[in-house]
Amino acid sequence: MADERDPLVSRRYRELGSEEPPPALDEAILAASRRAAAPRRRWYLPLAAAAVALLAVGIAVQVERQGPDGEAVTAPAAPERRIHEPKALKRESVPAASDSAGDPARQERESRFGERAAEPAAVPAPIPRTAPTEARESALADAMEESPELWLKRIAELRTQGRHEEADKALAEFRQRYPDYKVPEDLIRR
Amino acid sequence: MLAYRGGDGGAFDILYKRHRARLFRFVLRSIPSRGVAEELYQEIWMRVIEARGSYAPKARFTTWLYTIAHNRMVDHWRRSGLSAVSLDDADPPADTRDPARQAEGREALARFAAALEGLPPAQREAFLLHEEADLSVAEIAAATGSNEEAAKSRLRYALAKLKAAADG
Repeated sequence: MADERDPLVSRRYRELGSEEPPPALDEAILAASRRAAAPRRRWYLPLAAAAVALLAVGIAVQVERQGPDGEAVTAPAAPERRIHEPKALKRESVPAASDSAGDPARQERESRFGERAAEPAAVPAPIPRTAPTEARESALADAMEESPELWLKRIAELRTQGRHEEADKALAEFRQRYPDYKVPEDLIRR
Repeated sequence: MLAYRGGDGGAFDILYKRHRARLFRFVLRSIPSRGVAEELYQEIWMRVIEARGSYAPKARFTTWLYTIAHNRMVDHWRRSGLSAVSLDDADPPADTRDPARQAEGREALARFAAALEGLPPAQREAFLLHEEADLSVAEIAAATGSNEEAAKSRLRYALAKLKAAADG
């Protein structure tokens, strides 16, 4: 399409002036653009930490209320026993350290977790662990590093086995790692 | 824009520097009140920032930018009581004109400024998009959501009126 300009009109138009936006306006817009381009992780990390802390307090209060209710009392006792286990048994001892040590199907399942966690292609960035010496948590950690789906599956297994405290802890870590992931209702409830 | 969409904050600075003055004058000369013009100018850039994720290089960035500007302008005119269909014929509301701006400059220039300000919004927009933003008729049509015939016709009407004012 040909240029529709008229030289006289163009000249008159240029004579109107060459106004520019005030510096304060420039600054406000550029600052907004920088804020928008900044990584979004910053805001939710403290929020996630606060949520985990709140969840931990909630769990502690609930465990205390339940008192000598069998399930609530035995669950915290298990880690004490495991602390003294030799580190060499870490991965192999996962099924043995559990409450259902005699369940061969479960042993096979957990052994599969260990094998799959060793596949480098499927392993995302490592997750910081709070108690790496605990053998039972090692299997869970392997599942955590595998994929969110496997992680949730592992949590579901803990719920089925009645290991709610461990399940709650794993769920809290899961939510910290995947804050936007929709967790099934049955995994949240005890 | 693609670099900015990818998280390169510096890319926006370059884009902004390139387009700030022209876009500012486009808005300033479309809106009688300087305060409202500055507000709209900022809103347009905020929309650009918000829409970075959906930006696709289907056309020149300039066309995309002035499409956003056009939409903000239409919103403004609608709030001022002008419907989209009346933009071709309607004069801007008389009480929104800034007498100080009309009085500025020499007589001929003041006459030209008054003629520009008195154009129906759609004609003035077509002229400013062509003269200030350097858009072709096809790009004006794309930015304003009209067809090329309508864009060309608006531009010609605007030029005829402005030429008469410039000849004085």
